[in-house]
Amino acid sequence: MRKLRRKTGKKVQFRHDPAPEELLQTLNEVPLFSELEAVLEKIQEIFGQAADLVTRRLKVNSGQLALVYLDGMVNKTSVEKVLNEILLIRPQAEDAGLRLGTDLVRWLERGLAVGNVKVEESFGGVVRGILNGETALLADGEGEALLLETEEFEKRAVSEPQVEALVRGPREGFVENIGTNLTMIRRRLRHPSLRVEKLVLGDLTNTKVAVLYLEGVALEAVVEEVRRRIRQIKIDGVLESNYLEELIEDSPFSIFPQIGTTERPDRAVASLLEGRVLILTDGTPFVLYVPMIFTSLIHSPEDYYHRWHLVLGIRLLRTLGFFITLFLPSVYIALTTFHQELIPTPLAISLAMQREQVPYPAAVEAFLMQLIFEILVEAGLRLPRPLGQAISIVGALVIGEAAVQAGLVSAAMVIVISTTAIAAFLFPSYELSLSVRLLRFPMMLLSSVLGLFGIFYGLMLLLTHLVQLRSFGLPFMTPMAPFFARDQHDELFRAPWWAMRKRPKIIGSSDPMRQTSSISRKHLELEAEVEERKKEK
Amino acid sequence: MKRWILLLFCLCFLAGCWDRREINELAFVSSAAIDKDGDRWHVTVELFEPGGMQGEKSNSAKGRQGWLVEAAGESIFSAIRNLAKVVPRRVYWSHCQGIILGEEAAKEGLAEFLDFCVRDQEVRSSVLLFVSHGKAKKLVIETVGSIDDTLGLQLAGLANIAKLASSNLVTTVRDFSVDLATDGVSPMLCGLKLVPTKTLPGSFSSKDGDVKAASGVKVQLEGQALFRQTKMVGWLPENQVRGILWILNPPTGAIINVKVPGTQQRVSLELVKVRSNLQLKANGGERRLVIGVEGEISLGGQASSRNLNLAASARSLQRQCEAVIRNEIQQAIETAMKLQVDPFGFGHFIHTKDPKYWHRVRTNWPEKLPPISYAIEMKLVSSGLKTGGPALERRLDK
Repeated sequence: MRKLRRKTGKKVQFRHDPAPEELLQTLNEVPLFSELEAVLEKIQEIFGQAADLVTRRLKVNSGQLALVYLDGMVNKTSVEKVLNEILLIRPQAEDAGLRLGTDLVRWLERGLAVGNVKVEESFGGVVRGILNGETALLADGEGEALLLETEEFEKRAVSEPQVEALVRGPREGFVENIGTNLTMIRRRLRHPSLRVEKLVLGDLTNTKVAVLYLEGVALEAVVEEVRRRIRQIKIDGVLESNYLEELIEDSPFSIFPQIGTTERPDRAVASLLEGRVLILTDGTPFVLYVPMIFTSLIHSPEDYYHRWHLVLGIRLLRTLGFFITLFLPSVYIALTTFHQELIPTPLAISLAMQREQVPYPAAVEAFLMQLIFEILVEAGLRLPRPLGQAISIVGALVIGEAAVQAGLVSAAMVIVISTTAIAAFLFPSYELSLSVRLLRFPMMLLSSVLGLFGIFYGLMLLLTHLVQLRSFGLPFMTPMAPFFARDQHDELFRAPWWAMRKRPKIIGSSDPMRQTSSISRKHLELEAEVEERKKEK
Repeated sequence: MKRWILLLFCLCFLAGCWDRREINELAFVSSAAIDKDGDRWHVTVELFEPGGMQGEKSNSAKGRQGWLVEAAGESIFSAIRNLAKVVPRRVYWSHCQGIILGEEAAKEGLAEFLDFCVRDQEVRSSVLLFVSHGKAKKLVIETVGSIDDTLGLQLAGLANIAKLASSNLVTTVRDFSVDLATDGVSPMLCGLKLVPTKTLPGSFSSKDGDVKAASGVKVQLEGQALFRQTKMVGWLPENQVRGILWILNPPTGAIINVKVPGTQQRVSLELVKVRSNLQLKANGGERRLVIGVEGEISLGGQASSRNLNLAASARSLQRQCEAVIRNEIQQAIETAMKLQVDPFGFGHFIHTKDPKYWHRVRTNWPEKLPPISYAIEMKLVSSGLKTGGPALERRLDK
């Protein structure tokens, strides 16, 4: 920059004035001019003669009118309907002797067949409206504009969630459109207490964001904290909910997600019912919910749709999966390089036999295999779909077979790494599996240097970190640490629905009861009666 | 946060991998033989041979696997260290299954050996100890393979199954040292002997499908070596070992052969359930030790045509069985007395029951063993899956 300045000899202006971030703010203070042509010219100037900006000038008896909208953002039929009304119906009324004169805008506000109409007096409001897909109706000599709700654009149809797929349960997933997502939640929660607070984030993207909670169930303090943190955000754009997540989470340096994400409306509503707050972001199907606790990362919505006996086993399996993913390679390294006495004799001999041809230490071997696996996973994600099979063949043959035969790794290591790799995808939360996959590497480093001692050192660090984490003030490890006996009904196992009568202890404290009456088991009494009758006979 | 990361890094680099050793850089000891020749200790170890075990395990056995190495030294520890001159890998003792001690070494005293075993961090206290009849080295070298790959695994298997055979009491380093430290118990170890083996399917090579019989020798549990302190004083012969077992570790499943009442034909009885207990009866200054054994027996196999389920014959069988047991115990005690040892732990029992009396007799224990009476009670509870006499006999009767 300095070089450039020296060459030209004068200060080069890099900053546009005003900066784009402040443009709308500045325009808010500029009132609409009364001459229509001047207004149109100004709008054209603001949009920089954009090609998709449509300006339609109309002349009616009582004066000049203009419609301004962005092509592709509006519903053509709606705009045509407005045009029709203005051009055909209006003159008839005027011919019938009605003189509308300067009251044109007031009249139109009452007389137009459009869902929602707003009156705007500043350029800022009009421009924002146009950007949102509204049609601006301007009249000469008014200094006011009507914003007609004509918004419509292409959007993806509701489809099955990709990340949180399940066997039993609704097949509907959130889409990119915030309005559609809101209706999906409304449809599941038909109650006026559902509060929806809309706001716009991102100075350039003007992304719609909505904060949802159940009045009387969610803690007021949490809702207020969500508002406070979101209000502080000042960013050019919000393209995905993770932007918000990282901006408002409690411990930004932690490897663990402290804000829940879901693309399932049923899960979103379930969180609302527990007293959590939802944050919807336009443009992404991933909805945030706060506060989140660690165990909800290993809970799947499906847990509540299957018979409860099963859930105990499945959740135990996931917990086991957590430990396997995190520790299996490190434990293998520790046992084979430090604590050979802990391996049962036949296995020790067999392991020694397999490692006979392997030139590298077990730690290097593990890192190598793990690295190859991570490469495969990442490449599998990015590859065009038709090539996916090629990757699986290469993965299975090259890594599974050839590497062992070439003496690069031992067969046991392949088993360890593949078990670990599969176990990582046992969690319903993809975020958790990412964190754990990453944490595995420091664990392996610790164990290859310090053996089991290193593993326990790492585990202690990890636990210390986990118990000090907070999600919007709620301890992350609730209800394990701090321990709440009451909440254990939905922890490692899930109690049957008739036994889960209360909301979680802290976040559900403003209205703790979910079920106010206990289930009557009349049919059991009937059976007893039948038995008695039989005896009498 | 930064401080934590820094600390973590320091931990990684400052700690170093001082204890790191790859599993394939170790030579796992499977079994070891320890002998003493004059002043020198000889150690013969049988190492697992990972490469050699790679072959297919389709046929039941392929002979013995493993690599034998021998070293000698002034002390047991230096002998073991000297193994490093021969073995290109670190000799690793944690997976050692059994250690066989030569008879001579045992007779000279095992104090040094035991102390080494207990002090060393690699040798486990659960390692099995045996005393060989003759040189231990010979046993390790000459044994041919069995269904297990190495002698160590073979020993571990034998120890597991010894209870069923009710022939021996296999003891570990820990048992031995506990016995040593306990007042009124003489330690003992299980005996091992080489016996010639014929062409049993325990050892054949099946190359080219040609089943060739290989003859050789195999190990067999035999007798118990009795110790006074750390020195071996003699053998309890094979047929008396059960006498000790009745008291220390009643052998469920033991077979007792008796005569069918009124005939010379044999019937074997199996012990289904057996329990033993000791009692110390006081009568003024006199003490009397009561050995009680009670159990249930079942008919195993008989050669006569008699229906032994009848009350009269049952009583006779029970009585005979009791006599056999009593006789076995008596013989074992006799042998022990002759050698002036107390492998039964009578002294320990008396110590716990009547410490004052024990302090009076302990100086010349076990000479001062109080008179012993027996309370043995067996009950015939089952005749197996059938009643009556053998099926064959009955048909002949017709």
